Amino acid sequence: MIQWLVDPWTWGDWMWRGMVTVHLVAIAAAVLGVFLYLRRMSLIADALAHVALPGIVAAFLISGSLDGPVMLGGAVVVGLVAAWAIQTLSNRPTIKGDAAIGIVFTSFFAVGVILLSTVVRDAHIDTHCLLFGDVLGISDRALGLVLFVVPTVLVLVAIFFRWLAVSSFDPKFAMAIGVPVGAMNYGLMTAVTVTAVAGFEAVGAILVIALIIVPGATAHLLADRLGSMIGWAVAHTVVSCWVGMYVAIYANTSAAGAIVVVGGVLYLAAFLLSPRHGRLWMARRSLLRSRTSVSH
Amino acid sequence: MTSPAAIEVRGVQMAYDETVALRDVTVEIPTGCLVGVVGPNGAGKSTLIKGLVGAREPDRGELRFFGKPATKKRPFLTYVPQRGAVDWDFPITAEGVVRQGRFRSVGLLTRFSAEERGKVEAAMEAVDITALRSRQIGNLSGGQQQRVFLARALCQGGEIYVLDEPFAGVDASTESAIMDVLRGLRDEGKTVVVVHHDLSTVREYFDRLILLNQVVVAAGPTEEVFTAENLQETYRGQVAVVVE
Repeated sequence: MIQWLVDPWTWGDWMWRGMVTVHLVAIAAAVLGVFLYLRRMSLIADALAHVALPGIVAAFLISGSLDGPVMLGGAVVVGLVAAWAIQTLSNRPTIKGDAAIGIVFTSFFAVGVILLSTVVRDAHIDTHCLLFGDVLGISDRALGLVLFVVPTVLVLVAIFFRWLAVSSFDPKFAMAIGVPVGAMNYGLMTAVTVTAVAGFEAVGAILVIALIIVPGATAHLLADRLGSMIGWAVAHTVVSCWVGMYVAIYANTSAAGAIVVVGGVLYLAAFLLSPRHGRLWMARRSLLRSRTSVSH
Repeated sequence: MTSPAAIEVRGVQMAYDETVALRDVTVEIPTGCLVGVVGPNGAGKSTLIKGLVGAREPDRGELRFFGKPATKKRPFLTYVPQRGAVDWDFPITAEGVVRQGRFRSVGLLTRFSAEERGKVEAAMEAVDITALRSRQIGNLSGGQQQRVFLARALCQGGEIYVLDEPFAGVDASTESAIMDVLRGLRDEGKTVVVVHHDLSTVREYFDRLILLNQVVVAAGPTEEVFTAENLQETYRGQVAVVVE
């Protein structure tokens, strides 16, 4: 058993590179995801991850390079434009928020696809990798990016924790006590975009969305304080990453896919078993109640 | 010369797209009184609140606090939102909510000092929720939830308190506990503005009254303003009220 766990670490440095990268990305994604979940903005993560594509392409067109900072800059600028467009649209009384997200991100993404297939066909942008990632083949560039981005995001969340918490819980009150609610909102959007871009090479644009949404959703079933919700989200994502990586290695399948599937299974377990919201406990409680009422 | 009014609203107009919520609203609220804002649904009460707390700028007109033009920052103003305005599933305890009242002075990274903790404690005692401190807020009754929000406002402090329908969906004992706290604030010289729905308690609760329906129908001391005629005009036949 131990042999079985240790072996992959001796097969080359791709193992620890993959482990480090995927854990760091997943932890940052889980922490940000908690706030998005509580703000009912999980879908924004989806939008921003897609919008990053035209951002990266545009940055490449302007600068001719695909270095980490350039990619991040392009993705953040276009991501903020998209976030602003979504906000502005959904503030109109006639446009529903979910439709606003759908309209904006698909349009932006489509522009990215067109640019990729025409103007920048010669650039070595691997769309398959961008969308699905390659945990077991992390480049130095991707590792460096993650090592810079993730600690920065986590430190910023720690510093602004109170403001993020109060503006997620009660934005009007937050505004009234002088919290820069707008800045918190766009700061969160920026952090999500940056984390998603940093995670592209490891897990891809599609699956990074799952790493943002699922841990927070699971943790919400288990926690009744914000601190413990973040703790549960991180625990969820770390377990998903470990188990998912081994599954991927031994079943010779997509690591990102395996990680997300494990995460989904854990969510299901929490959904059924959580002491407060768990469906099984609820069923048991109502069964007991009906029995006692019968015996009376 | 008397001291300046706590709140002066001068010719304020606020609209959402084409829908005008408030039209040329001019009203003065003297310092140290307990004021009710009453009017039918859609009368612009919430919009007026948004203007007062600074969540939305008036499209036209001017707000003044204690004789000075309103700026974006209003640290003297404390706001208690409608109970329905937050997510009750949010992972936070009753004490956690009350502590938010001290965030402005505690800042981002500093720990709560003994003095700050004392203020949180005193506020929870004032509305009798110390026993509920570690409950997640979704596990509280409507009345208890409203007390939590009032405690947050108390420990925030301030000169002007603005409450948006604090009695909606609360039990009778909470309602009278809240009223005791509000009267206490008034007696300390604070100004308390309450958006209110229940016409049967208006006379008992408020020193002054503002009848609002997009325009100010009447404003002033309750006994002068709370007349059948004024109510008729405010509610435009939507309710039949008998005022003896």
